[in-house]
Amino acid sequence: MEEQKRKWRRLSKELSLINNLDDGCLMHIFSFLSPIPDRYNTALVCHGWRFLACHPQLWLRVDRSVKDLSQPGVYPNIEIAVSAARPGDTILVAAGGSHRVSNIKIEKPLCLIGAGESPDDTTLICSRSSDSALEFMSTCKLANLTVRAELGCCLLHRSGRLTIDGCILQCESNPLDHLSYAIISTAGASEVVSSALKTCINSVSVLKTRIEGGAKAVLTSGTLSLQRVRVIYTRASLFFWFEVEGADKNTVQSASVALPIS
Amino acid sequence: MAEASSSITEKFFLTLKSSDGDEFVLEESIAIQSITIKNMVEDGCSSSVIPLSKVDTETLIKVIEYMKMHSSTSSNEEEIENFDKKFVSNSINTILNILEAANFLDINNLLELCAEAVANRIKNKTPEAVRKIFNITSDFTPEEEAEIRNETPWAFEGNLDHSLD
Repeated sequence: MEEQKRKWRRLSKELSLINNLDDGCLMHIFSFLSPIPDRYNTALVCHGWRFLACHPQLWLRVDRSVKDLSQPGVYPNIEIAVSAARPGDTILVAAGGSHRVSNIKIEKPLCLIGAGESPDDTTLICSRSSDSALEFMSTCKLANLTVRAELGCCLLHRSGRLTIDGCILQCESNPLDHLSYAIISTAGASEVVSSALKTCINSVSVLKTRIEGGAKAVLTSGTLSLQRVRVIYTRASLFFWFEVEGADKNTVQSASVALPIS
Repeated sequence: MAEASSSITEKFFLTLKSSDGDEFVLEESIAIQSITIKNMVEDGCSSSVIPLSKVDTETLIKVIEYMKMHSSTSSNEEEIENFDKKFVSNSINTILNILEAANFLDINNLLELCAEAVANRIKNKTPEAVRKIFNITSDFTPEEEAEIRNETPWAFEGNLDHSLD
């Protein structure tokens, strides 16, 4: 009887032994997984795993106020965090103050998120001497951040699928602001990646983003064109939605949207 | 059974009792690799049997094997490395039981070893294969699953391993 009970208990326990572990243990296991493909795949196993695999505790953090850099996953600036990140990682940028960024090249899929309640809380400032704050060569997402360029552009898109969601892009007004743009895309419609014979599609999607200052919101010098523009006027600012993507051959190759004078 | 009050040079022994009721006698210096046991000893609970209600006999034997190998005096680095390699080749359910025990007993390097071993079983697998390996039933609807894949399609473009090894 006792023996049987024990067996039964073990059997029922084994039904899903791994989900008997406490969340801390599971997180520990997930921390050994690389974001792409493993963490994305574990997120598809079940709801519980999705919650943990996408948990902010597995993100990298940029926090200038942290003195103790021995803490895993905490970095003093965005540049170091970007170079330390693995493809598919999410970087959470601490709110408050401004982060200096200039010409940071992002060559792997990353997600950069501002930790504040609104995009105003986290500002990336790109100084005069640089061409852009961030330069994208890979599929990336930017959310809840303010990017301010003193000269040049906020974001330079070279390739990959770039998503900008709920951000503020500002070009500071100065005598040369006819030279500055919020977004510049130099990407072509698509390019064949030689190794895998896969076509990688280039695009920029802008969602609910305030764009202020500068000559134009977007300048495309590649073959992408601006599509599906939607603007909402609020009392204080303009919110933009638009796509920059490959178009039919017939459409204009270099499109741009001019900002209404505010 | 030695009392905790005698001289330091003498070997102390502890008795650990598994959830199945089996008792194991172990040198204190080995057993205190477990922070949980160490705390119990320091709180003066060591004179009697230490009940480990969350660890069954089979698992406890493995944990003790590990602690003996990793206690500082008896083994060299190469031996330990080989032992660890063999240790993680246990069945996945055994590893999970040991992981749970290591977490409860607070044996950090055993926890690391097992967590990495489990992670290695997940690496490069499809979600379907992972569910089979770990006996998990999906609670996603096909629509939900498609939606998640659509959110970040580029993250799912690689070639994955469908096997269950």
